[in-house]
Amino acid sequence: MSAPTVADIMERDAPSIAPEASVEDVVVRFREEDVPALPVVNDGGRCVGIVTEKDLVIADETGDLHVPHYIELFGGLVFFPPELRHFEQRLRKRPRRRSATS
Amino acid sequence: MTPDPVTVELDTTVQEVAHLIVERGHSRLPVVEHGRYAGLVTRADVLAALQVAPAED
Repeated sequence: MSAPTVADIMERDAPSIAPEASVEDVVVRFREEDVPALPVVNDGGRCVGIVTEKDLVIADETGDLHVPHYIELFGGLVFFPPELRHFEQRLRKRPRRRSATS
Repeated sequence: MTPDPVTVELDTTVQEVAHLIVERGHSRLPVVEHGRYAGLVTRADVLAALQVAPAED
């Protein structure tokens, strides 16, 4: 028998999501499919990316400030509006304590 | 999203996938067939194929 390949062990047609999907769509699909990541597949069937739970937090350019796109509150999802970026900028100007990360 | 993810082909061997997962630190890789998305292979799939029970968390 030849060496096992991806074809033998993969999940065929595993759920994927379109590049045009909103962040809300992504969160809903993560919950529906009970997966932590989805391949991003365009109309032509090409896999152009992968979106993971990590992408649901906004990282600044130094990668050390994370503000969630949404929170789960009393069983419902609350999405933060884009204006939150102003809040991010204010946070960024504050002196950082090394021990305050995560 | 992370653009241009590392992908594997249908005929990529399980050994090669294991190597890629360790080397690149990804837990799942999209599978591509003739340039089109065909499915997903995960670290758990590879561990199962190598007959190593994944750790319970």
